[in-house]
Amino acid sequence: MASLSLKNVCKVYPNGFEAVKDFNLEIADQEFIIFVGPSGCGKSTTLRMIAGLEDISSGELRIGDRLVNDVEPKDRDIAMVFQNYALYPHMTVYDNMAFGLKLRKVPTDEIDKMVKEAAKILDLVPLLERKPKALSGGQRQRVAMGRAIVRNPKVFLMDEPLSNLDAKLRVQMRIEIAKLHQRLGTTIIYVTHDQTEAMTLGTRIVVMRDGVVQQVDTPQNLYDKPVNLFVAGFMGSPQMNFLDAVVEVQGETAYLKIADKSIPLNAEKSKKIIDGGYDGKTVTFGIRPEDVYDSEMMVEANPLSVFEATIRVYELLGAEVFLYFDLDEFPMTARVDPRTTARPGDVVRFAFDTDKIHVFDKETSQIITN
Amino acid sequence: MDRTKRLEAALSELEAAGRIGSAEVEYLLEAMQQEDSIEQFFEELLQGRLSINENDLLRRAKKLDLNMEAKWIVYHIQTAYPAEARELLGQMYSDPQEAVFLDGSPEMLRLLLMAAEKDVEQQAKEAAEQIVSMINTELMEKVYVGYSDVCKTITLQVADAQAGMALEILRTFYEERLEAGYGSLGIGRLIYSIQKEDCEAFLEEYFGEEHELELSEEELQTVNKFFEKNLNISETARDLFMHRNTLVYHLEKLQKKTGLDIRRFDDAMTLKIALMVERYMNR
Repeated sequence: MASLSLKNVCKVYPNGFEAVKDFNLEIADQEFIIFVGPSGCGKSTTLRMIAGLEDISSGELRIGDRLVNDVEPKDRDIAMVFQNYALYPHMTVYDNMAFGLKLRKVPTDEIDKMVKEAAKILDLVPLLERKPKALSGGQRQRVAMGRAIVRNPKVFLMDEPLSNLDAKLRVQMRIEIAKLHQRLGTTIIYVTHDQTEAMTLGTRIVVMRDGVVQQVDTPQNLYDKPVNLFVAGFMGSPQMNFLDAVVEVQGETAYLKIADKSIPLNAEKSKKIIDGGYDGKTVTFGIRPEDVYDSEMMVEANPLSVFEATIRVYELLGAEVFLYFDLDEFPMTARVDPRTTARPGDVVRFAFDTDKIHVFDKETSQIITN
Repeated sequence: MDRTKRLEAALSELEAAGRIGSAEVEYLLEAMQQEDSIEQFFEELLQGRLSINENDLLRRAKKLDLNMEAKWIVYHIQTAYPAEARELLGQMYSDPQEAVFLDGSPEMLRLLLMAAEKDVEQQAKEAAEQIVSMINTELMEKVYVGYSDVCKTITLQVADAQAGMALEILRTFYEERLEAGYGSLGIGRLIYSIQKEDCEAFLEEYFGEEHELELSEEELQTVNKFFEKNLNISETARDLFMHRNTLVYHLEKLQKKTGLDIRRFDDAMTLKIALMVERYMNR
């Protein structure tokens, strides 16, 4: 088990491509850290630098107290699981897990002990003599994990390990990985582009874009207090609604003018808008779909943020309904109760929960109201 | 003593001890020689040392139980530990009729994989990714893979050259990638096929007799970001954390130095190609 420290870590390739810029992060022992972001954002490159499979162009990487910039990957005491995992088809589960250790010339009795311990953790004991062909997808994935566990590493690095699995198995394996983290109590760094995986697994999440860390925080804080438009849009599905609004200040209250309505902000948000000198300026207004209501009770409780819109699409997902409509030519989504009577073509009254409104600077994309 | 001779001696001893019949010895020897010869056959084929007489070739292939109609993909695997990589990948691809390992250079292993019937390109890419993953995770070693287009057995020599070129272009132009197929090398392949003299003439035309671009790290970073952002000044300035006027100043300075105004598409293209040509020349 170990802590990690990345200080001003950069990766610039000789062709000038800058994959990772000034990456700073302190990872505590036993943390489950997620690197999330769109394809090409530098998350896998960062993971590979931690593994030692990519050289660090500048900055410092420490595992525990040890500076490991120039330490060979195999001497860093880490283990990796990739999405393109493959099992040796002609070997039993036992041999699949043992093979890496055999290559490293680990004594046979030690290998036996390590494999059996890992098999116990992963509930693979009854399957040890089976060949991969006779395993289910989930069992195979557990064997792939087992190959990493037998090394008893200080840190696990996982690069999209569930990407090749179908949706149902992904959910199942997500739970397995969470349980595994609890059982092993080891530091895990996990790369994914799937924000659901990030939200459900991570103790902290690092959101990256174009090689730059956008925000590092707990899943809840990332969701509730995104620092910029990118994080706000990336975390959450359906994504946060965004539309342009003009700020109007009257006394100590800031109003956002949208579709001929002036929506008042609460005292805290108003102060930040006024202090930032946004009076008369166009800003980006953001609100999550679950904070847009169609129920009469909420509409009556928030009379100053009520507006009417025609429903374009109705999507029933069982436990919830997504209503799609346009507001001031901006596409919007509301996540509402499945008992809603709204249907495509209906003109519906909606209300915003004004305490949940996010306001972003239109030029810099940074949050104003957090 | 090589492996065949050692095995022959061991089998003779067993025969002498009466524990194995002479027919079995012959069978085992033949089988063993056949296994050795598959590698030999492909090695000779790749080096162009095999008879070009089709009948000879077919006769030899038949003897080795090889399907000459099969299609192949050649992989060049660059690793500091080719022997360990071979042992590892040998467990993944263990059928000698469908996967043949050949030595490359001290830091390169060659693998010939029989191609699937369908989705060949996808399969080729997945196999390359898998090779990288396996060596990364099991050996904890860096690895780069170049691979060929799908080819017939008879044209393996061409495919071998394609895989070698893919690996070289990957390491010259696309350092951020770990694997590349011959069919997806883009402009790198085009530049790679130009004669050195023509490259020199091109650089000389734009950058004088020294034909050195001599861009600083900062200038290179600005240029690359500007290209990455499709010549968009606002987006580039935002990503580089500088004011757009500062970026314009840098671009004008670059124009004085190189004679190229990369805000114009033609000049941007020229500089992009010049940078790649320079990398190719200096590789």
